[in-house]
Amino acid sequence: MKRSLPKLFSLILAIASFGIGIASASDIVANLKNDEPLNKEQLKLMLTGKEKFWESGSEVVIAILKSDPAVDGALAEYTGMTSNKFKNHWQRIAYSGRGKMPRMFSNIEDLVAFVNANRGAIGIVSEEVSSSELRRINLGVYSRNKWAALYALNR
Amino acid sequence: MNRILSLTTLLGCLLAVNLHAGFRGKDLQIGGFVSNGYLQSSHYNYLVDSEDGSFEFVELGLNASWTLQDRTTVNGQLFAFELGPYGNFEPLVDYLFVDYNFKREFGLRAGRVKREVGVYAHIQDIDVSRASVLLPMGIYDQRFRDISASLDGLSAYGNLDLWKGAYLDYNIYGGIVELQEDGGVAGLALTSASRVADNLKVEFIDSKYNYGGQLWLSPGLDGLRMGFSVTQFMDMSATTLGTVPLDAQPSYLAGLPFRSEFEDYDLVNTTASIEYFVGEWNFVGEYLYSDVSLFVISDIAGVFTTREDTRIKGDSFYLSAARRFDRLEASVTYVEYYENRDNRKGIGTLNPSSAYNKDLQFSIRYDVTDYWSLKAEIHDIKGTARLFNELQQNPILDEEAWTLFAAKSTFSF
Repeated sequence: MKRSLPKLFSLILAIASFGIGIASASDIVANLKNDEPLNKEQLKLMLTGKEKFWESGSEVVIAILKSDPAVDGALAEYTGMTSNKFKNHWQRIAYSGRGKMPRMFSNIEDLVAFVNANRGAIGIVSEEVSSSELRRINLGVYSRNKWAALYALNR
Repeated sequence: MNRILSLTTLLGCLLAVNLHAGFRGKDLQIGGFVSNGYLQSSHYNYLVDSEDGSFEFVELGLNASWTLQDRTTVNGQLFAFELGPYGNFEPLVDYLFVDYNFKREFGLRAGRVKREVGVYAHIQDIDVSRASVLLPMGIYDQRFRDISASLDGLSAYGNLDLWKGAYLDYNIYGGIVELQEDGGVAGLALTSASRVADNLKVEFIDSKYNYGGQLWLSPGLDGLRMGFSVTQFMDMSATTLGTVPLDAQPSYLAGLPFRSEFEDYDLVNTTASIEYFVGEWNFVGEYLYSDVSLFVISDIAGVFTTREDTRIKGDSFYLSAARRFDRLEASVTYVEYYENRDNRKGIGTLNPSSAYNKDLQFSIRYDVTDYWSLKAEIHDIKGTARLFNELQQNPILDEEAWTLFAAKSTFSF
């Protein structure tokens, strides 16, 4: 009985966060030829235009799905910006010659094709992408998995 | 309706029906903008003949960024504008430089590079980067874009790690700026002579070096950054010619040639900035301290010469808050500008209200599509500083309070 309350609490948290996770679940993807490691701090620097090139020298070009709540959630998580602010931030950079505007795509197929064609491309997607098409970057433990791990610990 | 406004509107409508401007190649990205504005004031002519209402407020830009090879890009923008008597659609290279990024901490740009001063100097033409039509007058003045937008020379930049989550962006630059005979400095020189002479024209205008730098500290709180910049313009000079007005006293001076020269015009601007965005809010505050020293020689018919060493220390600040509501954005900005901070009320001067400018500004922006924005704003202004008179557009400064309405349509891709 002592263990059942935390177990129930964890179960509720896990279910709730799984629901949130589905709404905001997103993946960071890159070109298959790009095997350079990437962590969350480096991703933030790339998404905010501070880091313009990969270690190999390839130019970072950002590709995102537009009007996608999960992608908007990922932008908020990795950059601290809303999608409006993200666009505004990049307009300031691109129109003053300090970087290239992120490419916005309406469908996943075009985004996949773009990332495939650009070695330095980095994409944020909300849909499952085959690992034979793009490299999925593991940045660490996602919040969804964190709660699942907590639930597992309490079983 | 003005033809350019019609063109902008047409382009916006075309984009509204999804004629996507997909001009981007693999290593080349092309962008641009076309905008047309309207200015109407209750009194005085500001920037354009605004008292009658004017559409002579047009900007066109076409930019490209090309990745030449790893870590090397070439970036450029062609720009043309009309702002009342300024610009006249003469195409100019706003920037064109090679950028080599050694690493995140250090990069070099060579060519015509942007001057990064405060939040907006390097993006003053980028209408889509803000909610307002006009930037805070006093700190950013589009008439001075010949010296404020870019310079021919070098700049170094980088992003340095500090403590966890905190970093420092820096940009230092040096080079030459080219003053234009129809630019803001020329307009200012003519304005200062316009109260004592007629038929004025700029005979000569020149400038030498400009150098400076800017630091932006991001202390680790998402959305917050604090900036500090210093920029110095050295050895600007100009000569204006005109005639003494026919109704001048004493009458024997009437109609005689008038000449005014300024030389060794050094200008040092120091700017402190803070910007914080949180959620859909964006807050900006900036303070500018301006230190001008120059030597002025004036004469009438080669005699009656006056020589004067002048030093003026002015300052200005603004606070701005903007809030996004999906496609709508609203902002409020309050600006104060003082020509001479040692005499903020203009006591003892010919036009005391010319010593200051206090502007409360409400702006609204609506993004009709991802590529087309409409803006409108109203300014409640006290003071007549920054009202130029090189074309006798503001011969009498008889009212302290006036209002300005501005609207703008911008298409960008």
